[in-house]
Amino acid sequence: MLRFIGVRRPRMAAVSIAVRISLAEVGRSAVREKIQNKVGGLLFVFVGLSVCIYSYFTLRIGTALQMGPGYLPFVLGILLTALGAAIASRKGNGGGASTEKVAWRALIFICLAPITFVVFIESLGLILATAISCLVACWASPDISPGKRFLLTVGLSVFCLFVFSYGLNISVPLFGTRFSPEMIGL
Amino acid sequence: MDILNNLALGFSVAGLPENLLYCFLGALAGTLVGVLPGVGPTATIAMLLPATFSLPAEGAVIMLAGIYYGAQYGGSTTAILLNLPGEASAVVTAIDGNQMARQGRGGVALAIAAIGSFIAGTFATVLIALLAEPLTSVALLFGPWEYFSLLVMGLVAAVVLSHGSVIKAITMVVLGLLLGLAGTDIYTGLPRFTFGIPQLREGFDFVAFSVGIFGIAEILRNLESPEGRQNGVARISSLIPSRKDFRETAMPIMRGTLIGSFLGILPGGGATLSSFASYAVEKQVSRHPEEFGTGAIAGVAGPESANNAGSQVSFIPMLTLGIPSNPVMALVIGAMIMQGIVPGPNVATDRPELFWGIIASMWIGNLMLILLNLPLVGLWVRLLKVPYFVLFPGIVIFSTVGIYSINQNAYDLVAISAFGVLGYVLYKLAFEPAPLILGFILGPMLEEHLRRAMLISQGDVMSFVERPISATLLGFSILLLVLISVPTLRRRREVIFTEEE
Repeated sequence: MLRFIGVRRPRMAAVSIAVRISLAEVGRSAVREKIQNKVGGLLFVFVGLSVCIYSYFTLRIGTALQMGPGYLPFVLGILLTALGAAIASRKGNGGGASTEKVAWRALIFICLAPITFVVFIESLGLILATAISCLVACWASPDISPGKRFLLTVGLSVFCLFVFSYGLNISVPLFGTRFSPEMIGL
Repeated sequence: MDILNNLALGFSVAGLPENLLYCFLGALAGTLVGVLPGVGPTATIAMLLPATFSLPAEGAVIMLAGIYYGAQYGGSTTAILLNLPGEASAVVTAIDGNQMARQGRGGVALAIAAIGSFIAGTFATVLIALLAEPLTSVALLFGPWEYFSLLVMGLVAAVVLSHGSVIKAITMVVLGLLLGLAGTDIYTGLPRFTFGIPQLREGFDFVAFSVGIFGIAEILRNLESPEGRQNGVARISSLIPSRKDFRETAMPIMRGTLIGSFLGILPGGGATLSSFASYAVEKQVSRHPEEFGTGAIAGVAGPESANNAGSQVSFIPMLTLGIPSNPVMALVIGAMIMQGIVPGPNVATDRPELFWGIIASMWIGNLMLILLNLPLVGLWVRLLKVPYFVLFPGIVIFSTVGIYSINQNAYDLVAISAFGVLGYVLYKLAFEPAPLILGFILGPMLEEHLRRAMLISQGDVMSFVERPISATLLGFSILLLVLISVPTLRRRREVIFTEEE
């Protein structure tokens, strides 16, 4: 997938490399692609069927002349189920992306970061919510030492404060309700 | 001379100090993300969308456009000097460009790439100006049938021109359409797929969707493997190409410009496809094809011109018809809708200053990019030393705060994470995200036109083929689908995209 080619080592001469790939490797990636097809195909069969059931029971389907809100979702759900089934039944031919490693650590902490922000934004306000969320995001990479994590957190929080609050003038309070005069006993 | 008047209006808008500033900021940001591998223009534009919300409409679109074509310039710099394509469209530039750099001709390669890009950019600007009005007047004849068929063609083309498996690309389009349909039904006002959550009544937030699918998923992919960056920048010698270099590159630049201009207009086309096509053509027509891969200057000049022309020309279907031809254009449409402008044929007549201002700003932006890139090459290369662990928390935080600031809606932030996971899962299963986002954008439009057409024609499906423009568009879509099913063509397509991998 080209869009993300960035960090991977460039493989410009892939045509010649492709020729040199040993047969064993082709076999392995064919198995890998077969698994990808199975899992992906079944996933879409499941999604397609759920969409069909949901639109059938909660929305009016209508007719081709008077299409109800459920008409197109229902049709697309059937289409998705069929496509998923077709993908699941395919054999691999040796293409596809790497599936060996899953970035579990990154997955957990990167996805947690926006959620932590939401949890704290009202009570703590922009500055602290940004800082906490940043700390969480930094945990995603094992390359970041505690010292760097601290510097990054301070740096990014200040940066966001300037860009969003002073630069773009957004209307998110810098300090949350937790720091309102009543709460700290003034 | 209407065009001259229009262009004069455009330059007067684009030349305003604040618009020059936005243009410069966009070009600067574009060069930056072009240089940095692992940060693409799509993710950047998605990330900066919230920030453009408070800008005037002209400034916002001018800046976003600058990011897109700026990235094409920046991507070639690192491709040539480090054999590290910062951008997908610069992958082919690295083949011969880096060989030239190793032979001490890196400066010449950079200069030729910049000059080629500038010529292509100028040509593309003129082409957009020339085509905009006829296309707009054609678009005004469009009824719901034509729009529906056009949207179908756009989706089919996105499938044909995507990489890898065709059936997987179709699946992505269908999933995207479905995700796009969530929210309130426009005809009955009933909520669909909202699961009783009132914040989902307006559908999934477009910005959160694209930041998740592109930005977050991209970070997750990059964090799979520990950091390893090549260093060893080739030294830059003289920047000035010799007369022989100019002679050898004149034709490739012209061919590349034409290829890019043609492929850019097609839905699903754009910079990346253009540069690959141009490289293939240059290798075919060259009298010394054996030189390709060892530092042929034509292999730099052609693709670099093509990707710049392609990226700019892809604005044509967006500006005149309101149809995005690639994910970046989909994001620009999103930005315009946030500004209260509905992209389509009416933009040129209702908001001429916006329409022509954008076109004129592209030429100004190209000029700025030459000045930004050539003298400052050393600075950009040094940027590569910024480690990824500084970049990715920044991207996450910046998108988070930005998206929260638009609607102050907690569900949007949950959506970033959810779509990030979805994007990563799809990558793991070798599905591509580009057709997904096109489906997501086009889904609501497709449904609206389909239902309107069926109502007007009293449920007669034949009305789509009875109207000539609509029939042509549908016929073309079927032709495209048949073509990729033909074995020889399919094999050729596979070869092209293996080369890309």
